[in-house]
Amino acid sequence: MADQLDEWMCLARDEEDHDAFAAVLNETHHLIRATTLRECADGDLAEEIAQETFVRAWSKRHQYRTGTSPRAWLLSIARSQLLDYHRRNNREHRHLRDLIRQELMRRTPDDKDEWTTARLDALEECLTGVAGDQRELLDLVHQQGLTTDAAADVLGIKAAACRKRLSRLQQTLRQCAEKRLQDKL
Amino acid sequence: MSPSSPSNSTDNPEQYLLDLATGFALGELNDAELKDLYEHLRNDDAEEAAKLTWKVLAHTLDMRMKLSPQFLDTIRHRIEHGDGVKDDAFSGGILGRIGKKRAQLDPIAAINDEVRRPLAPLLIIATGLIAVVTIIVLSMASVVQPVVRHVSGGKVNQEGAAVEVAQVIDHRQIALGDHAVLTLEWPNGDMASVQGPATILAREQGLTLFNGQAWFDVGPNFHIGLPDFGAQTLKPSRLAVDSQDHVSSLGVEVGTVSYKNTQTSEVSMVEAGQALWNASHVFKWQNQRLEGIRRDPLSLKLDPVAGQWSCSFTVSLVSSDAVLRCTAANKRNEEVAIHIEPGSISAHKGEKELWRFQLSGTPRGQRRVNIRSQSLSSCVISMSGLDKKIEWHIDTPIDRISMQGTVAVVNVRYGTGPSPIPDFAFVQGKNSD
Repeated sequence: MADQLDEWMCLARDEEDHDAFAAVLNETHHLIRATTLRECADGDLAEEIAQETFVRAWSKRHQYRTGTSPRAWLLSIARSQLLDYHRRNNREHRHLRDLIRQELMRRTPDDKDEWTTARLDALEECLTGVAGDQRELLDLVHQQGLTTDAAADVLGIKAAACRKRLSRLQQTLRQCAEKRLQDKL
Repeated sequence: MSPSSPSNSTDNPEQYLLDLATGFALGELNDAELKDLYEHLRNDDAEEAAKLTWKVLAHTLDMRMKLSPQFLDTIRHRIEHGDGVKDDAFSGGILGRIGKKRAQLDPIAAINDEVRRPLAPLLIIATGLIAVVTIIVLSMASVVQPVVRHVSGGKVNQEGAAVEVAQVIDHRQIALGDHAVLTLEWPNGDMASVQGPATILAREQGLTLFNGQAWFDVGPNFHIGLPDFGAQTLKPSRLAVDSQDHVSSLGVEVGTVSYKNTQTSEVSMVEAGQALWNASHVFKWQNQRLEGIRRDPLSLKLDPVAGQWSCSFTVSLVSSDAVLRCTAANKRNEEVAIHIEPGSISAHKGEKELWRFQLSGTPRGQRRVNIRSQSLSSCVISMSGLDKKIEWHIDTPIDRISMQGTVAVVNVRYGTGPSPIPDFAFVQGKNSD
């Protein structure tokens, strides 16, 4: 796959092959998003940085060197973006969220397997078992991007109950995915 | 707390932490909830709280990856609107695949050949120069990665993998656990020692310190990146850097360092013997040790402009009625006092007791106390037997700290700026292999 990615990236660079770049995007966005999250401990920030990474990767595709790993190249762009963010985020803008991120960064999980695609496959299997109101809640928050307050309005429940419900449901899904992963090992 | 607050913190603490982590991952916590989560991450259960929060963060990302097309849609949207993309080709391709077309630009008249021709030689020269510079930069970049010379005292990881001696460090972030020490050496002999807890990123002729303490023994043109400013050595230098909560200080033992002042936007210098705080205040870098036993009242005059100072000492609490009173006062003589007694530490304002914490371990004995400024009008106290750090506030900048009581105080150290370069820095270095 590494050689294939390199080939696609070279095609994107030399022939401006849009499909080749789209293939690189499809194959690598999981890794870039997960790694960026790991390095900033902030889901929204990680998504922004990852998006910026791909937009910049396209605009700077001529800088890609044949034989370099596209994954490593994209990660270096993502890290550069993250570094810029840290530089911009000076003392005037720091707040509790940043302090929490800082505490989390001191305790970054050791286990690299946490970030494998096998976990995503296990989660997908578990999601097939979720239906009715529970599935609607997941779709409202994660697919449509509503806040739990807004999702509560749609579902006709109290906002506090909505976040509790989501938190428990996600915990159940996480445990289900972990168990499936264990069973496969 | 808002009406949408998660579980009550006292009903079920584990569930409350899970709800907080979920809210944090979704970016929905209000200030009170953020503060609660922050407290969890600094208390006894910090390790477990961090582990759970990381799991919830990762799981929330998984949920988005599986359920939401928003990530890829947003990239397409940004390309559609030309946000950050200088080249239209990919935009056109993506737009074509999703069934949209970018508006075409109007054709413009061709430039007159007589006007364009004189630019051709310049363009050829410029292209040649860019190629030469690129080759030089690339050839330099390939041989300037630092090597690990020493690791000790705790966990040092790069993306979960342990960092080992003789390893060549790439551009990925490195996390150091409590008390861990890492020494790096660049091919030109530049050296840096970092002490955890810390997070760093090594670069060609440079190092970024996101948080923690680091010491440098480097030549000119070494770059140090910090959350609140960047610095560069102008000549061979030995210096210390400390960055906590996005506020950094830098002390120069030997050499000269330049930085950009955040208030005036001017490039300024820090010379040997000086320290810099938050890229705004330069002051004398002091490190005093008061040897011997101090039974007499001790008064330390602080420099409020210094911004960062620290005072540490060991107090011997031998008799049951022993007490050490540490008083912080501002220029208006408003005082707050800390009483350290066998088994407890308490804060007092006048006659009123503000708070009291019990100390673990044998009540009578020696306790090491560290008081470190956090801002101009607050400081943080940590001491042996106390399982948390205490924030100590006074309304205006602290002008002086005094200590008196029926106890002996030994090993007093008072300093401004970062801690001085310790003996263990730069061990195993200078191309020792």
